[in-house]
Amino acid sequence: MNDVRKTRPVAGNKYYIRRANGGYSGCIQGSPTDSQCNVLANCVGYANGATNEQKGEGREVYPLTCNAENFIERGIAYGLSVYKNPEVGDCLVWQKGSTLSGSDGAGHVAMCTDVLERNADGTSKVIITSESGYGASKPFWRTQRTNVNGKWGAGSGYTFRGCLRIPGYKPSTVTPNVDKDIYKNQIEVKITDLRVRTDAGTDKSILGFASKGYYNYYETKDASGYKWYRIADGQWIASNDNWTTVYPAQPKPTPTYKYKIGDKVVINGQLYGNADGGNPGKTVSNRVTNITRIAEGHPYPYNTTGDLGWMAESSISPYSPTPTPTPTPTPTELKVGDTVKIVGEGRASSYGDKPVAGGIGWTRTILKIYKGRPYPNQVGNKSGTTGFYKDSALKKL
Amino acid sequence: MAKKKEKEIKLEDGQVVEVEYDKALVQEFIDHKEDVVEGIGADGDDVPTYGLQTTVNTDDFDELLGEGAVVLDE
Repeated sequence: MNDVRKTRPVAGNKYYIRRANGGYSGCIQGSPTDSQCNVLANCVGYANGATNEQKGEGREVYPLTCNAENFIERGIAYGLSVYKNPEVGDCLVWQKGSTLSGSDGAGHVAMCTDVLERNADGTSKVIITSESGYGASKPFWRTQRTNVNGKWGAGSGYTFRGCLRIPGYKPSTVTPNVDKDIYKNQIEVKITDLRVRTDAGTDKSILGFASKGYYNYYETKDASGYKWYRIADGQWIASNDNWTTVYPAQPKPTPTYKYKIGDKVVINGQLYGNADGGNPGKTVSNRVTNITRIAEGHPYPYNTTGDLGWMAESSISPYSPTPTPTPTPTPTELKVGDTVKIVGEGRASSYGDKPVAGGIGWTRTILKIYKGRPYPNQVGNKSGTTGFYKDSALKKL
Repeated sequence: MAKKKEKEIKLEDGQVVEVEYDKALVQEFIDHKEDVVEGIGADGDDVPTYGLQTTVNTDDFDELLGEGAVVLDE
């Protein structure tokens, strides 16, 4: 059996060429018809070709040539296993609409090529699929799919049915390459398909092939004239300047963090499903919360109350409460009997139509109040009325 | 597709099926194996006699993909 295909099939690959044109495929012709593989563009043509290519018998052992949503039944009829959860090499099958008749849609199929994340129970959580689609502008593409709602990234009209798997199929166990990380011991493979052996030495069994890219290494040995690097348990590659470059780990600077657990902060911006920036989630705006976790050494190291997601430090600012405004004192209402100091001019009549009344600086008593009049406060003492004043001309003592 | 009377499907050694499926449709596919293998293009004949794709999926990405899906590359 072969590893699952991760790249576009090209001219001469008979698993993706119709029998009428010298290939192995019994599928209908794709549309727009790909110039290299004429069962593309079509999800059925691709998944049928990829499944049979994995089987690798130089013929169409599993004729998955029917409507996409019927792949489950066709696969069972031909001895394929069907699982609920995808693994590398599986063919994912979706139903469109409520029936399997094709009258309410054809469904969709895609091949699982990578499992990027797993749930705590070991089942797949984030995968990559390779696929095609009838009428699509390109004959092949890859999709990252997170199973957030049981649909594995399919649209609302689709229902995920299950995954076809060739019984006994085991994808290559060669560890996948990783992102470059200057703080880890890494070796870059610069050629296609570098042999991976079960131990250091050219006499050791070939387990598979490492593709171009970076691999972490954990141990070295000298054997058969080469320096060997262990990139996983029981997986060794030979180093040579022509096909590899070795990057020993650089010392990691001690990260400093502006915030600590428990700090009250304001968060603004993008949240992520993990501290490395994977699975972007919602964005938040001016949310006041507390730092609950810090994942040191990661680009999005902060999590906050309620496990909303992971954030970069640049999306966080310290919480500073808005100062409470000092309330404007309510003017004390004057009433009869209040002792007041005259601070402004008054009038000799509450209507203001009589001459000016003085007395500025004098202390007097409010004798009567004529509400609604321009000079409502009648002010005086035992001797009599001093004058009539507005509220603003009197200061209550 | 009208359902036929369902009968138990005998799985092959090592074959695992964890999901619900249409047993009648499986039986129909089993009953027509000969048509599938010999009837489609075996001698260059482009006209199938049974079991080819009858409905194609022309949904664009907006319909085909939903929450949790990101198209990566070609």
